[in-house]
Amino acid sequence: MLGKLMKYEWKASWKLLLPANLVIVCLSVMTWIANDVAEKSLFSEDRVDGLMSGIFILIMMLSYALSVITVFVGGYIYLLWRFYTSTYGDQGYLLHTLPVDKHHIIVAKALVSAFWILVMTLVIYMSAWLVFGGDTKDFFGELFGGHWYLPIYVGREELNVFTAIMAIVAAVAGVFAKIMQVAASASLGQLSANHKVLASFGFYIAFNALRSMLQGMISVLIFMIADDGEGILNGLTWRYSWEPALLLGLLYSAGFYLITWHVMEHKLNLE
Amino acid sequence: MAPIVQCMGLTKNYGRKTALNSIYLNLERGRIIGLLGPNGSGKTTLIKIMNGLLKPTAGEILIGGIKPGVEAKFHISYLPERTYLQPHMKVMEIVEYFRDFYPDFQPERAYDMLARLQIQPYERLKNLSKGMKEKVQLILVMSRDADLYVLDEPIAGVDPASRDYILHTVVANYNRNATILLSTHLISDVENILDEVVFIRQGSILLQAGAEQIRRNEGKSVDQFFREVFAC
Repeated sequence: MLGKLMKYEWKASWKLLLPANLVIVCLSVMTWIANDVAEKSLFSEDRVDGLMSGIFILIMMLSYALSVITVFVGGYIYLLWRFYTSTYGDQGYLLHTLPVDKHHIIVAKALVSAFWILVMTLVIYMSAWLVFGGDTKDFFGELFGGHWYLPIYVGREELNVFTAIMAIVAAVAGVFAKIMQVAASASLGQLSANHKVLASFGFYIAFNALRSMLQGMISVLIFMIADDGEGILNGLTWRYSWEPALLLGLLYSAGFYLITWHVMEHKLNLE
Repeated sequence: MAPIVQCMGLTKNYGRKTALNSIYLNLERGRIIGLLGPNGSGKTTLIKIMNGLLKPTAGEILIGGIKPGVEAKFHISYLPERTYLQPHMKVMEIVEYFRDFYPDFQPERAYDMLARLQIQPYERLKNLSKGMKEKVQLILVMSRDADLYVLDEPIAGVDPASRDYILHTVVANYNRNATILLSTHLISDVENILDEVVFIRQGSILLQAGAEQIRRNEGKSVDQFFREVFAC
């Protein structure tokens, strides 16, 4: 049944999210070509021509950035909205009367959502690479050369393929943790008698606060046992290494998964 | 064989409000049963608990001898009082969806009923009127060979011609060994097809009796008797 659920999740999501990603690709290519053409006249002797080219590039860049942000945020909101309506909205009446295990429902939704978030992230990264002057010929070389995953690398001494792969795995675990956080928030929110959507937002914010508190407590713990400058630095940067990022990602994913499953299995409340 | 539905002390509270108050109820197989009561009497709550969409506060419910869960859902075909289909789907896609998930779904029966309503398989649900969507939903539910059909207010808010169509579809297509539980407050429209009635008021079962038995003992139609019992 998991395969069937995923098939219908995929069918419900690709019609909007595939075109959205194609829009980003088209915009990137258009902006890239337009900038390339405009750049040639940017430093021309004709000042008006140069000024106009500069304004054109600025407008193209701004509209590109705005469009990409809109598509990404829109895609993300669409996934959240789809999760809520298909699980706890009217469509939930069909979903929860199918003879399928609740684990399958959660896994199917999480896998398809994670797939789209990762695709959108990759497309945006490649797009930004193209537009903001990266050398496209050496894209994959640069990808594994240690730029984009730098945010979860600070504090490590060696850069190699293994740490790059583990950083990607940690990032994927982080995506799952976020998706499951949304699922758990929506599941707890639907327990509320009134204002279910508002309650879901409330739980999401509360979970964020709890995560920050937990990470803050670990930082304080590291500070307390640190006896030199490096120890203090570790207290600031520990969560940017792939090991704790992966561990926390898995921990959060498992915790939020259990909350979601428990509510669906034992507390479902489609009033 | 165990009754298709058994409720034992079934209670549901919404905060301080009691929606179902320790209900004891057995529904036998092969009957068309009307779950009759005014708005807010607990009909939908009882139906949702049968389908696992709500959890009881106390007590127990068994469907064919088992608790509501994955196994029980193979046996129940449920029509809620709202549209639960994804509007972007085509009619044939939703037929495929039902065929994928319910082993007892009969697509030929569904397509036959859809053709009679002149609904094209490639039409998107969002392009159908509300009434047509409800009929598509009913067709899907009645195209299963389930043991229990649970229809929540299937004729509420529809015109008399559509009511006839809905009732005809229900009676013509259900599995004869199955039970139909049909909730409504429009008694006169359904009275002729009912074998048995359950009166429910303020979360309590007031009466469970055969429709013919009421007519014989009370000397009036079920509709008239209902109006007397529930007179404000």
